[in-house]
Amino acid sequence: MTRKPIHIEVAMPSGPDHYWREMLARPKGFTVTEIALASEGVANTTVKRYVEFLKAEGFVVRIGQKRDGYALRAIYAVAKRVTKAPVRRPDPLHAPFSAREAMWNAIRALDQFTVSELAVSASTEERPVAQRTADHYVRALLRAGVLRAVAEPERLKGHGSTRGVYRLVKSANTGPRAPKLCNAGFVFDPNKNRVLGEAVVTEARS
Amino acid sequence: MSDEIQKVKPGATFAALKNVAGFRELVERLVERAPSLPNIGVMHGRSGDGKTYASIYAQNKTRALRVEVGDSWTRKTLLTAILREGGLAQPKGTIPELSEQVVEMLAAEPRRPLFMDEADKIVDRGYAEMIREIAMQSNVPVLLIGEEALPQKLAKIERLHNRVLAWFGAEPCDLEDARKLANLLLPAKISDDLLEDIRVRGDGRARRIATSLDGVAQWARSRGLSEVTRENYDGPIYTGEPPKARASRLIVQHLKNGRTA
Repeated sequence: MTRKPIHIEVAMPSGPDHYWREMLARPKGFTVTEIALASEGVANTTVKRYVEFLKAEGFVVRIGQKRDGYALRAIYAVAKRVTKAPVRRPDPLHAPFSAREAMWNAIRALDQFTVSELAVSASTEERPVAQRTADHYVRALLRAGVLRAVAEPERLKGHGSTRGVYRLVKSANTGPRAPKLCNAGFVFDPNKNRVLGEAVVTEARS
Repeated sequence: MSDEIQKVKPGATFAALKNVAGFRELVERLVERAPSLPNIGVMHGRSGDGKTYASIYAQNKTRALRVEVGDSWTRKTLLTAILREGGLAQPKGTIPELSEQVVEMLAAEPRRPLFMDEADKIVDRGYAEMIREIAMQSNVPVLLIGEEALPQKLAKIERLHNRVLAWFGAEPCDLEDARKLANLLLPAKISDDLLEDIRVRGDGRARRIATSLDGVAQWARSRGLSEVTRENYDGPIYTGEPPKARASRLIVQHLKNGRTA
């Protein structure tokens, strides 16, 4: 028997996609509880928050209410039938700082720093900055000439090593937006010293 | 380019330090205040007490705008700097125009605080009234951070002084704080007595304690030790004091005995 690969789309019974599908499947209206019960391992409040968002954006409207035991439950119906579940994307202007932005803030504020000091001072509980992340960023900024080593890290012969101490080059303090690390992908022709086709630059993920 | 990536506890933050937590509370109080209340907060403390650590932490928590006032700054540089922090690349205009732009920009996000580090320089150069104007018109939380004498300096400017909701004085580190710093910055174990020594000789200043701890870390690493006590530690302790004037007679005496000083 040969094995033939087949493609099956699997949808987890939770998440906005699932809620939205369930909502679309109820043209006569739905309650928050109904949707939560039709999902797997989802708290009522999760669905409620999503419905509140949809209501605020005008995707669903409240069409009435019904009695469920002692509770009075609101019935909603889908007002704008879009295929893709509406989701809230965080507004980049109001989103909390990313690790690199937090590090950039710290780099600009500290006179000089070691990698571990940078990682600790840029960390908050919600978004800790790992030593590796800080190390990676510091290396990239050093290469670009944004940082300067006050003390170079040294390997002492058989006696461990000293840590590097760095500081921001004054002229590189250009503003609040953190330098991005990017990868460039292109085809290079060494005969004519030129790039063939388009050079694509993407922001590196770390 | 650190050669070794230190294994310090993941998710370590300065949050638990008293000054960092205290400043965070001050910011929180200003952000959550009733809109009719004054909206200026002041943090004052000696240099090296950890005011900068506290402001970085609070900034990353609240997305605050932060400017560090320079010695030579004028009204215009300050306004331009605030606008640049807010994302405007090339602010242009006269001082009143710039100040209007600043107020407009700040007021767009009423919960986003403005930190002004080294604020005593603003008072020294005599344009502190401008801060009051910006704070009043934009109604965003404004945090002034400065040296120990900042409250006295502010007291002389009554109209600004009246807009201050709360004050926070950064305290010298106690042993508990020093212990937390050691946990964050030092991969080796350190005994209480040595830590206390480092704290007292560093005058309780977070910056000096951190510098000493860095020395201890290096010392321990080069000897392959995982525990450092007062008995075995013979490395440097950072006191921040300038070197003493050397007694030339002593040096000469040493030389006479055939030893170099």
